[in-house]
Amino acid sequence: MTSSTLLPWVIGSAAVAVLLTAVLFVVKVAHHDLTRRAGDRRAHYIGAVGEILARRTIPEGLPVGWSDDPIFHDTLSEFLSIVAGEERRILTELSSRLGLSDRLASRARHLHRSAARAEAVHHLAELASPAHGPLFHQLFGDRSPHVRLGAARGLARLGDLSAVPRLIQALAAERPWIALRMADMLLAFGPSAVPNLTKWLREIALVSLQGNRQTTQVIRVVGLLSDPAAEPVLQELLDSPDPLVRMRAAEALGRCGTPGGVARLAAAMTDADWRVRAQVASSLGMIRDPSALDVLVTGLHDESWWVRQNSAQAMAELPAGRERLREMADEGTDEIVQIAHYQLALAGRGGS
Amino acid sequence: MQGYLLAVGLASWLELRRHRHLGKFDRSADMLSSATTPPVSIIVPAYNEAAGIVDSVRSMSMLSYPRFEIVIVNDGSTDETLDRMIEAFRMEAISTPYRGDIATAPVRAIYRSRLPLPIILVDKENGGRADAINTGINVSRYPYVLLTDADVVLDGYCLLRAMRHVLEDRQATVAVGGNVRPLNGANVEYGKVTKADLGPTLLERTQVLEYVRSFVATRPGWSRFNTMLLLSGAFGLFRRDVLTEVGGLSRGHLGEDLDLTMRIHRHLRDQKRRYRIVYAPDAVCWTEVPNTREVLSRQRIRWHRGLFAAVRDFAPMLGNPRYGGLGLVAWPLFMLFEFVAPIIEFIGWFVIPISLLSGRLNWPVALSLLLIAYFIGAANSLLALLLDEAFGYFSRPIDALRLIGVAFLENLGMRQRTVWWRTRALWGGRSSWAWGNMQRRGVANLSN
Repeated sequence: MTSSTLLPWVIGSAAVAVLLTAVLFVVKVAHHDLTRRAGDRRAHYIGAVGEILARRTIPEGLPVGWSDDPIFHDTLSEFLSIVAGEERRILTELSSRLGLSDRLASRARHLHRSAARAEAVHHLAELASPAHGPLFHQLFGDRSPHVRLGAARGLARLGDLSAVPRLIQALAAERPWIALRMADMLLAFGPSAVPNLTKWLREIALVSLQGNRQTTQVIRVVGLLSDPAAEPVLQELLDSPDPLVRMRAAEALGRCGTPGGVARLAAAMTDADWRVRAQVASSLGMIRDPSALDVLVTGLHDESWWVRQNSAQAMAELPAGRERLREMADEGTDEIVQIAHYQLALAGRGGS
Repeated sequence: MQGYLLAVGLASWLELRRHRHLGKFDRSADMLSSATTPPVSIIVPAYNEAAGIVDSVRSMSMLSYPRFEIVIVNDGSTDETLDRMIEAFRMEAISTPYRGDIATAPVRAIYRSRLPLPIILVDKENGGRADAINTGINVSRYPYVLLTDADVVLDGYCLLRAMRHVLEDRQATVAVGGNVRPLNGANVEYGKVTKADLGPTLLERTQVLEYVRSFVATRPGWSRFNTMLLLSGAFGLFRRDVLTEVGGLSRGHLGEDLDLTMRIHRHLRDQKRRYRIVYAPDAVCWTEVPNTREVLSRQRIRWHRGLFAAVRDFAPMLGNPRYGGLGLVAWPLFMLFEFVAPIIEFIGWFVIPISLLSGRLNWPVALSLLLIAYFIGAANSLLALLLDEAFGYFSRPIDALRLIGVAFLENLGMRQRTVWWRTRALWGGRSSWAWGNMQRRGVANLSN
């Protein structure tokens, strides 16, 4: 190896370093400029839309470029997500005059890049009208999960209950992140989705007895919708062979159960799995029915730390339970005394 | 070595591209309002942090996340850390059950805020950072814990962005690392970084470049292959049950973050469990970096002694096929380039002049090789800065010029100093772990 054989390498490496220097500088300057311009346009749109809302009139001769600018779409979507009533009507009128819905629908259908299609369908979901229903159904079969999610958002916004079974299927078919968002979309339907969800639990989950992500998510959604009509099927699910299903069913019963169902829930305090027992204790605390007190006192002596903690926490939710905790704070075992003090302190009734 | 950096840089580019694609669909608001987003405990060990603890906690309490608690562990501070916390957040001592999942130094008292803020303050005997964090893990209630420091500023959405990775595969994801950036010179308003800066001195700017190389051009690449060896102590999100399984952080270990990550890898691979440890480049947190040579040298010596301890502790994993890509590729390369390379470079300082004086060195060839290494080294730094452009920090033209200048100047002095510190770390005895004694300015005082 001689210095002359290395010379091209020296020159080459120096040239690469110089070239990268130039590229970095140009990229940074261009990025800086683009960011500044985008910020200016965004500020302009926020000001213009804000003024339209303040004046409650849409000026004639709106600039044509607005409807093609993704930054305007973003701005309008953000406004639409925070306004209601008359203001929402004005913004819908604005988008109509700009022909925005049609443009977004066209972009969602025809653009090649999935990111651009997803963006269009998410914006369109904010402007959703019944006329867009078939398009959202069509886009729910798109190859991009993000487009499917946008379509689900649009269907939820329309309250199209015919989409609920497809959304339930999506809980199993989609990858976890998208499935969670689909569960959020089911929630967006509100209590009107409960009959469909409980029907699915009764016909599919209870028959197959297979616990899986789909079943647990549907149970969770039912619980979050807090409709007492779901109580019977949730009680049946407490007999599932899968502890995760039993746990989720107990959690959902805590949210939507009634005092009439406490006995069934209390029976689950003898479940073999400590996670189920811990959840049952919490759920009994959520229902706040005095008849649960005895079983919660039993829970204070459970072998699991979590069951003991949750039982005490649930007791602190009941007036009679707090009374029992006060008694225990004086004469229980060391741990019971500590737990009782803690829960009473949290309940703001003394302790510590 | 430069080839290794280029290869990892390429893998990082691919990973960042994937992130960028997913980022286009980032709808943080969905997660923020979702009932399915799991709650997180933020654990903050504090030792003599009176200068900034209140502002740090205030900043953390403003994080955009649906449900979280902040567990501050006062590790026997000798200053006013405890008093300031009690006063600022109206903390009151409570009698609370304490789970001793991990053995720690005795806890003196546990406080809870009377304000509607999810803050828990634990006062304990001094036991070091690891012990304080282990205490925080014991006290935490939620299934995921974020381990961080009292002197960091967390980006408002960092927790959401890190947890997004967890939700992508909740069964397998056991830890998520965040992107740590130097805070020096930045504008901080109401606990939020409003303008990033490179810092006033060359020393600080050089560290900005080092952090970019490490957190933007290296870690995403390793994360792509599930071979991340180190989650920074400034931002590491863990599944709580996995932390308790491995016994928490090792007390007295000089490189506890590296040690913890490696132990999690070893534990889960030994059990043949499916898992992943991922890096979230968009989960950003900011930390003060040393602004004097003395403090920087102490920090680097400590880091390298930590690495030395890890090399010793995890030597059996080296080249061991049982640990897959981690044992066969990542750990050997990490050891070679982080541990062995500085020693070789140090030896070169003596061998080259001696060879030159004794006439055994072909100096034109040596000079050519030196120049090639210099330019490729600068090119690697410039590539890292290009990758960093995805985050949009330091985009002013003057910042670009400064960073380019640092990329070329770094190898003329700073690199040699670092090699010297790393070599020095190998002798001088094992000092016990001490909390960093860097002079903190406090988050509130950082506004320019």
